[in-house]
Amino acid sequence: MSDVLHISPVPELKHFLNKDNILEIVVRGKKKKFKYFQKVAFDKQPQGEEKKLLEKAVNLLEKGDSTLKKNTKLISQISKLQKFSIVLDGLNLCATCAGFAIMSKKLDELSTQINQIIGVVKAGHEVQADYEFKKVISEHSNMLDSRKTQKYYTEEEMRKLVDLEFNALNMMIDVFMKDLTEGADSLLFSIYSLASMLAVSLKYFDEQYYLNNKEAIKTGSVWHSSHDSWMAVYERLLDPQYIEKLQDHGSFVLKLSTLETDAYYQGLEAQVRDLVEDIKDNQTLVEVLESRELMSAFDDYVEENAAEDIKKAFEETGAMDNGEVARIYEETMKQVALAG
Amino acid sequence: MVAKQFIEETIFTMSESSIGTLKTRLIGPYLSCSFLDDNDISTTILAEKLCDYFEKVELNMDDDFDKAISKYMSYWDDLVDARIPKEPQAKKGSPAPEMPRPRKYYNLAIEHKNAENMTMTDIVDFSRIMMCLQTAVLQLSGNDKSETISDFDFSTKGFDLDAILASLKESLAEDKKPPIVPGFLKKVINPSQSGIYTFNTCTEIITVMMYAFITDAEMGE
Repeated sequence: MSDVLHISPVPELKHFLNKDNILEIVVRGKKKKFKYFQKVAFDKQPQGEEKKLLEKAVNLLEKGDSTLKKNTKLISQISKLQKFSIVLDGLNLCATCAGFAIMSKKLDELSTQINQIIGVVKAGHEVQADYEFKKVISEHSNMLDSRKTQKYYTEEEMRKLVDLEFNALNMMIDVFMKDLTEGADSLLFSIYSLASMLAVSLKYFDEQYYLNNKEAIKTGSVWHSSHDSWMAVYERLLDPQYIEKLQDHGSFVLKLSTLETDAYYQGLEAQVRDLVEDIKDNQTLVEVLESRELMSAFDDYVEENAAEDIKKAFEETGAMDNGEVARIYEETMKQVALAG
Repeated sequence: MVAKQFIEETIFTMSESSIGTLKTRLIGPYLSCSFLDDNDISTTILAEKLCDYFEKVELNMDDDFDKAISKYMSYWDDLVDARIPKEPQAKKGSPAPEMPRPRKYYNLAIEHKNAENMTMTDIVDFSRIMMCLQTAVLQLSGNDKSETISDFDFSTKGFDLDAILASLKESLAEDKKPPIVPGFLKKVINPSQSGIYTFNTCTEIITVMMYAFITDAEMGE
């Protein structure tokens, strides 16, 4: 069992009428790690005995048969969606250098195609803003690298990155809605990758903005004045007309069954909701913890807890003795950024 | 497809809650037990009762379960077809107009209906699309039976089984009416066309089973 996170000064927490706010965020954070772990673990699709052991371990994690059965039934029906599984875990993959390296390789392969699509639409619609997809990936990668080397982007540099990703994402959603049927798969992959990248950038920006400016802001919102309009792009990804296009893409282009289409569009909807929740949770945390060091300690605390619980569940099944299961476990933990 | 496979792939994959819905809807109105109390009917017993029912339909109608599925799909097609916008005709020199969304999905459902080797996926997908389209029809405010729907909700959120069954029964009742014939050629209604072991009633039961199956398969979180 990991150490309890000590947050000081404790009196600061009394700002919150309901102390469960922070507990709720911890539990939610842990549950999301389990959920990503489940999705990625089942995507490996081991056969026979290994599959049974993996299912048993995941069952222990969730401590309930019905959730496992539902997930297994749906996941067994989304065999055609494996290429999108990496998108479903985009949140974690966009937040670390190692994870983003996996994503950016794929995104790099798509970037020429995406830039061409954007070029066609820009030419037809006299769009002023200049954003190329490759530039966005490169900037995001550079930002993560700066954090790794502790040469953090300034507040202004982060704001520019947020703006860049926000504008690119809006542009791509416009393109998708215009029914350009060629390249729709790549476009969708890029949309959800960008949505994850924007969430990561926005969280880092919010942290910086708050800590730099909280003393100076006397009244009104403590967040950047563009924050609401940045968040509005996520509403576009949940808009009924957009969702209809996703359903149509699943049914007629990917040729999924109705159940598979459900798993597909509901999975993408859930990912967007998770991203929004994460950004809002992060704002709550920034306000509570009020320091970069505590924020970092909190993130480590949630990850450590989740990693320990998952490891314990696997050890209880005796599944770790099985070479194939151990290999899947290690790979999965790395993909969801839970490995040390 | 044989009835046993159909039952295996539906009843035995559902949650307890959906099985409960099935028992409520089927035991009493369509199926009955002579000795067992309703509360004592397990999933296996329900499956056996359904198996017996379908067997009786096959004997009464002198046809196999494939025919029952085929009639189920035909009856649903009859119910929904008139309320779907027609395929737009392309005008000379103009780009082809966009096919209305309901028509796209209706055509997809008909592909499943016409599948050469009918699978469970064909039956489920056909049923899901038809129920979605019919739900949109039921939400139209007017009484004009020629009014078509412009769009529909792909999710199962708006499904109302009572309303769906009522509209299906109304449509099936129209199908049952004997043709008007001169007195001297008075049609004798074949006794096997009435009662519950008919394709009409079988259609209602398959509809209930499909509703329970489709609404059961939600994304686990």
